[in-house]
Amino acid sequence: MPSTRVTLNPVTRISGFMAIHVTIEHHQVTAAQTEGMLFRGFEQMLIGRQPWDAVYFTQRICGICSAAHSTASTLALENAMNLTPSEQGRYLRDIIHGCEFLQNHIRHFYQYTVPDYVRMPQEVPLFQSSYGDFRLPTAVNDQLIRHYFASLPVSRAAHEMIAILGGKAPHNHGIFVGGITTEATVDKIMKIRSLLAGIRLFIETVMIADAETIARYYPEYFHLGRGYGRLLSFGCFDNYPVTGTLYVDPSLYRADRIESFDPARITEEIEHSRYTGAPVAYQPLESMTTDAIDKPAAYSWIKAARYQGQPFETGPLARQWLSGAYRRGISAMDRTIARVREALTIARIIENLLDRLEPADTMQTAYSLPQQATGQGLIDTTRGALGHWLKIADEKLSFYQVITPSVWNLSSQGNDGQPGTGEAALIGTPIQDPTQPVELGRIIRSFDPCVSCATHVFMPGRKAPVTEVIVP
Amino acid sequence: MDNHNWRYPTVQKRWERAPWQQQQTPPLSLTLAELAQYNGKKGMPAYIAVDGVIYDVTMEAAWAAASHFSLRAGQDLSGPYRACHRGQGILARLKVVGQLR
Amino acid sequence: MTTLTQAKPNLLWLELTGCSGNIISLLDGAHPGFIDLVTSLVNFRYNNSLSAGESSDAMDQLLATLGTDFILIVEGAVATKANGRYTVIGSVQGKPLTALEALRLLGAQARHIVAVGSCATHGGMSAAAPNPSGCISVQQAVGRPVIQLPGCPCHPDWILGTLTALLEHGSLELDERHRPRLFYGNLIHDRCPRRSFFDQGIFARRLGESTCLFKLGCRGPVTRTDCPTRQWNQYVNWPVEDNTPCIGCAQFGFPDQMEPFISYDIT
Repeated sequence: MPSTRVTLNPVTRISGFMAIHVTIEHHQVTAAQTEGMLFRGFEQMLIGRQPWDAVYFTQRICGICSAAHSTASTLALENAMNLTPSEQGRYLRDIIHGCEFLQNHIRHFYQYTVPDYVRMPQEVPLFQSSYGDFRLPTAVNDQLIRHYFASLPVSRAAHEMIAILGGKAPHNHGIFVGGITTEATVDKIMKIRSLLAGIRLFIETVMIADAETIARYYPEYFHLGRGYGRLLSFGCFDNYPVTGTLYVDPSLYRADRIESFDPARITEEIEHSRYTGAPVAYQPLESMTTDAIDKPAAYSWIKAARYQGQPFETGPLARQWLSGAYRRGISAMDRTIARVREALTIARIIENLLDRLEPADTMQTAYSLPQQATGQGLIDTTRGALGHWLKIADEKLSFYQVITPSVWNLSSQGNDGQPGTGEAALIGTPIQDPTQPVELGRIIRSFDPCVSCATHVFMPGRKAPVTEVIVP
Repeated sequence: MDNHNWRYPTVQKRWERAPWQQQQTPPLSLTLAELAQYNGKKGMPAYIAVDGVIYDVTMEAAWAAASHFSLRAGQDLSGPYRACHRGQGILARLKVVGQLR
Repeated sequence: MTTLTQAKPNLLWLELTGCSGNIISLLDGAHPGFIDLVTSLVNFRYNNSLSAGESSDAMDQLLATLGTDFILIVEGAVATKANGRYTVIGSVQGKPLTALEALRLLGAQARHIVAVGSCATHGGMSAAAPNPSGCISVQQAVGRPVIQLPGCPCHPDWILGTLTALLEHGSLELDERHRPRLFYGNLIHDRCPRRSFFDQGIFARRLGESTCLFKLGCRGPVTRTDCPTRQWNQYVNWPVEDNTPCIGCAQFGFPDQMEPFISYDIT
C-alpha cells in the first residue's frame, strides 16, 4: 500500500496558527511534523525597554492565557530584584492566575474540544464539521450543544473574577511585583466567592460529566496519543512559606519514577526551527538566535525545549499525575479528563486561598531597579510549564527569554532528530480513513496548543528610535 | 484637530504650588546639556525647549511620567513639535521658564 | 436583539499576526455576546479559534465567502517580512496562505472591514520596535479605509456595538481617525473618576494608591475610550480603578509611544 502524506492546515480551534504534516502507511502514522506558522519576536522587542513594563508587555504574547505571562514576568523581576512578595501577596496573585486557569480550561473544553466529538448545529457555517465520526446519541449530542453555549457565561465569569482584582481581562493590570495592585476588600472578595461558587457548580455537575460522556463514546482515545509518557511541571500553587503546597511542586516523571526538577537542565535546540545562532543548543540565559525563515532543515517557528536533552509533556495531565490526583493513564482522552478535573482542583484551591486572606494595606511600594541583575520566573500555568528569563543592565532590559508550554508540547524535532512531544503522540496512531484523518486533530488538541505563545527570538541590538508623533 | 492641552486652566493654577514655582525665580538660561537635567525625575521638574524657549511640562496632563509619545523631557523638541503641533497654539498655554543658551 | 431589517450578511473573523486576544475578549461579552453573533446577527462563517471544521474545510468556508455580501472583522497586524511568510493562516491547494494574501483577497471585496484591537488598527504590539516580522496595520495592507477599533484587547461592546450599527443603520459616526465616536469620543482623563485628584495635585507615588496615577505614567490624558464609564468584564472594573495607570492600549502608537507604562520617582 502506498504511503499517503496528509497535511492539516490550519489546525483550527487552537490559539494561533499551526499545521500538522503526517505520513500514513497501512492506516498508521509513520512520520509527523507539527509546524508553528506565526512569528512575532517578543524577546527581541523587549530589549531596551523599561523592566517594569515587561509585566504588561509580555501578557500580549497570548490573549487566552495573558495572566500566565504577567505572573512569570513578575516572578522573574522579583528574582532579579531579590524581592520576596508577602504570603498574602502571593495568595492574591495566585487567585488571579487561578481564574485564568478556569477561563482557559472551560473554553478549551467546550469551544475547542467539544466540536471534535459533538456534531455542532450544521446550519451555522462556523460549526460545520470536517468529518463524520460523531457517535453521541441525538439527545446526548443536543445536550452537549446546549452546554457549549451554557459554558459561555461561566468562562466569562472567570474573567470577571480577574477583572475584580486585576482591572480587566484579557491583559490584566493587577498582577505586579510584590503581589497585586489593589486591596482585597470585603466587597471584592464576596463578589469573587459568589462567582466562584457558580463556576465550581458548573464544573462539578456539568463539565466533568460531559468529558466522561465523551470518553464513554470514544474509548479508544484512552489508547491514542500517548507520546513519550514523560511529564514535567515547574510547580504552581506551591511552596507558600506558611501554607506549604496546595497543588504541585516542581517535579517530573519518567521511566515510572517521579524525580525532582532542576532548572539548570533546561535547554532549547534550534536545528529544526527557523532560527540561526550558536550554539544550536543552549540554556535559557545564553540564547543568541535570530529568525531565519528559509533555513534548510527547519520546518517550524517553534523551537525544541528539552530537559537533559529529552522532550517532555507539560500541562494539566502532568500536574494531575505529579500531584497524585489522577493517574489513570497518558493519552489524548486522559489529557481532556485531567483538564476538566484540574478545573475543579483549581476552583477548590482558589476557595482555600480566599479563606486565608486577611485585610491588608497595599503591598506596593515605589520600587527601584538594580543596575545589573539576572532573574528567572518559572511557573506552571494553564498549558503547562512557563519560564521567563531576563537580564537588566543600566535599568533597562538587556535580555529576555520566554519558553512557553507549547514549546515543550509542540516542539520541533531536537537536534538529534528526535520528534517533539506532540509529534511523538501522533506517530503510530492508527488512522481509520486516511481521507478523513479525524484522529490527528483530536490528539493534537488534547495538548491545548498555543502557537501565539510559542514565538521566540533574541537578536542583539537596540530598538529602533521612534520619531513619529501622533495627536490623540 | 482638537487638542487636550488647552482645556485645563486649573492645571496652570497648580504651577504656583509646585515647589520650584513658590518663589519668583529669574528666567533660566540653560545649555542643552543643562536642560537634560530637567528630566522630570527625582525632584527635578520636566522642561522641554521649542525654538529656543524653555517650557515647564511637569504638570502637563499629556506629559505623564515626563514623557509624551515616546519623547522625553529635558530635550529640545522643536522638530517633533513642528511635525505634530504646528498651528495648534499649544505653546502659548505652557509656562515659560527660560531660554536655551 | 431588535429584529434586523436586512438579510443577514456573512461574517468572517480573521486572526492575523497577534495574540488572538480579541476573539477571547469577544467571548467575554455578555449582552450581546457570541451567542447573539452566531444565532441572530450574522452568518458567522470562519474564525481560526472557533471554526468546527479544520484544514481545507475551514479554508473553504473562508474563501467561499468571496463573491457574497460579507463583513470582515480582522484582529492582529499584518506581517510583511519575507512576503508575509512570517504569518501563515492556512493553505489553499497545498500552498501556504499568508495573512497578507488572505487580507488583501478578502479585504478587496468586504462590505465593511472592521479592524479590531491595536495590532489591527496600527500594528500595535506585533509591530513594536524593532518590528521583527515587519508588521503593518490592516488599513495599510488593504489600502482602503477601515473602521478602527483600537484597544488591547478591544472591548466586546465596542466590537458588537459597531457591528450592530453597521447591520441596522449601514454606518456609524466615526471621528477623523475612523473610530466610532460612540466609544472613542472622549479622553479617559475627561471622564476619569479620579480627575479631582489630578486637579488638586494629589498624586499616587506607588501602585495601589487610590488617587491620581498621573505621576506613575497614566496615559488617560492622551487616550480616547469610554473605559471610565463603561468599564470591563461585566462592567466591574478598569485599570485605573485597579490603582494602576492607563497604559494607552487604545491609543495609536501603543505600545512604543505609550511607554514607559509605569515609572517611579517622577517629580
